[in-house]
Amino acid sequence: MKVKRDNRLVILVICIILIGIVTFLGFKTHGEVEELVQQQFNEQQLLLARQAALGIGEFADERVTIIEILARDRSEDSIDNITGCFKPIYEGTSGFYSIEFIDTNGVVVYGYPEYRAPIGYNVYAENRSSVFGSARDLRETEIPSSTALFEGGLGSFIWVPVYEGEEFRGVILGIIRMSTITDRFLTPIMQNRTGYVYLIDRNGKSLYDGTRREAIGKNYIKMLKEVNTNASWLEILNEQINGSEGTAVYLKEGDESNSEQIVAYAPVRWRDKIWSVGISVPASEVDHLIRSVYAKQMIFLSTVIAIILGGSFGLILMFSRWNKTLEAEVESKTCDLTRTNEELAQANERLKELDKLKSEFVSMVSHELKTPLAAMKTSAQVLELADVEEATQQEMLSIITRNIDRQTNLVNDLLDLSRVESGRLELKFVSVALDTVIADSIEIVKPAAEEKDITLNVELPAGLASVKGDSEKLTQVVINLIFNAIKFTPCVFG
Amino acid sequence: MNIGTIDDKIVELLQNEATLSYSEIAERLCITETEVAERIRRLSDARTKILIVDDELDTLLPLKRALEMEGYNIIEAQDGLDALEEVRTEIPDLVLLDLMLPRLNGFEVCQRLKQAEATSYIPIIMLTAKGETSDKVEGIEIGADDYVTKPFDLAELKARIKAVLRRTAP
Repeated sequence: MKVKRDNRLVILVICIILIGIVTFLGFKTHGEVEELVQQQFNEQQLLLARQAALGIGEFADERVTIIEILARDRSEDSIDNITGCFKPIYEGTSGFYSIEFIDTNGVVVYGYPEYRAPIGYNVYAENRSSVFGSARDLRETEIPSSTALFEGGLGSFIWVPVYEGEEFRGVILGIIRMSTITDRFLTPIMQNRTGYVYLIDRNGKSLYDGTRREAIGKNYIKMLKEVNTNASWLEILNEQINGSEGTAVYLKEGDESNSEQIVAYAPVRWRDKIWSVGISVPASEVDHLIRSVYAKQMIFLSTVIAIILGGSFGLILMFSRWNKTLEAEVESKTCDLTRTNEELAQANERLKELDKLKSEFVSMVSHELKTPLAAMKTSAQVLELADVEEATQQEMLSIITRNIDRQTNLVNDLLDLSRVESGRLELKFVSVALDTVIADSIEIVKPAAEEKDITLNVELPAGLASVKGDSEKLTQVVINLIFNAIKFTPCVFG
Repeated sequence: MNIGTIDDKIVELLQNEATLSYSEIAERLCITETEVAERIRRLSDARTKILIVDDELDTLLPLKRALEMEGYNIIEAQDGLDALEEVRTEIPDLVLLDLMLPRLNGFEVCQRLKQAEATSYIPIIMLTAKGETSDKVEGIEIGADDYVTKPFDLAELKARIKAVLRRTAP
């Protein structure tokens, strides 16, 4: 009992230790996995940001270059010829909002598509000539920071001066709508994902914001400084303005709870501009990833366990079935044995009974054989005595003779019995008249009856039927019956 | 009228009047003269009286003759109840008792005789064809004085009878 309890304690302790080891290893592995996944995730986010930034840069640069080439190659052509190229450029490159030509007086003389061109608009008259002036004076392409379009939304204005030698002929203005860029490069990044993408220029002004459309055009840094919160994000924004790239974490202060956000940022460089793309996703994304990894592992593990358990259960079932079959067999064999034993016991009982009957029979036979012998022996010994009277001598001799007959009959009976037992008794079946049988028997037993002064009266019905049987044996049966009757009839006169 | 009491009355009459004739006694007791003669003969018999009990007449008869020749007074019975009756009326000096008897077997007869105070002193020799030791033991245990198996030697039986009588003689 005590040993059993000790064993249980030992098993319990071993179990606890094993569980502890497994838990420790699990935590350690979890930490490593988390770190690895985090790292991978960050790199992936950064790659996404870099790709988007590169795309934007090249896209914008390409468009500037096209207009510059036009301005340089067609500088000696007529204005009409120059503007005639606007349509194929617009249609062949996609991405321009409109392309316009401003003459030396600062008046918009042509634009494509024409419905978007404010023909007759005078940059001097509207007091918006500074960029026009600097492009003309510096003889260089001017791209001011993005400003609002008449039709709404932000746009980038590309001012390219056209000089024929030293002669200023005007400015080609290409307008690229910011939404064209962001729709192409930034919006697809966040499809079917949580988090958002934003794009700022080097002043911290929002060019695109995936979640807060209202913030587009406003300056994040100014906004953050005003509310004086989100210092960690402000730091990131400053990094972005400086044109660096990387990943960082900041705490987003939401309406209900704060959540950690991972920001991957990469600079967009085109001409003198430095913009920055930021991809901000909740840190819980990483947890989601890890969880999905674990979920897959769990599915694998549970499948394996289910297979193992199923297999074991099948084996157990199979063995228990075997066991049951064996048990049933043993039981049936036991039943058979019990039955056989009972039968043997019964047979033994019968044999004992038979044995008892046999010994009783032997005892009886020996008594029956000895009785006439005793009579003969005593009679003979009486005869041997001296001076025996004549009458007594006769008496003794008749006793001897009678008993010899009796003994002979007895021996014959025994022989018959043994023949019956061994099946060697031969019966001769013939038609036997019963009155003949009885008459013969009476004739034989008559002397014995007379000796005891017993009268034998025979009354037979007339026309007694004949039977089929052994005449001799039947007669013997009747004789025996009458002899017995005579023997056991009391002697009246003793 | 009981046989025993008739004997007693004859004895009583003769004690009072020794000169009474057989006919006078027969007259007084309302019995025949022959019976009186027989009774007186029996009463005056001084020989040792042996009762032989056997249902086989052929066994009984030679034994009776032999013992009579030996000078014993022999009376006989052919079944158990008969034997008990004979013992009560005749009061033998010895009983030769067969075991296989009709109505009441030898063991029972022996047992009853040995249990009754009046007859317990009478010696009994068992006489039987059954020779098994267990039978002998049972016979001796219930009070038989000797046990002889059939067929017996006449001389041996005579010797045994003498021995038993000598042993039990008063």
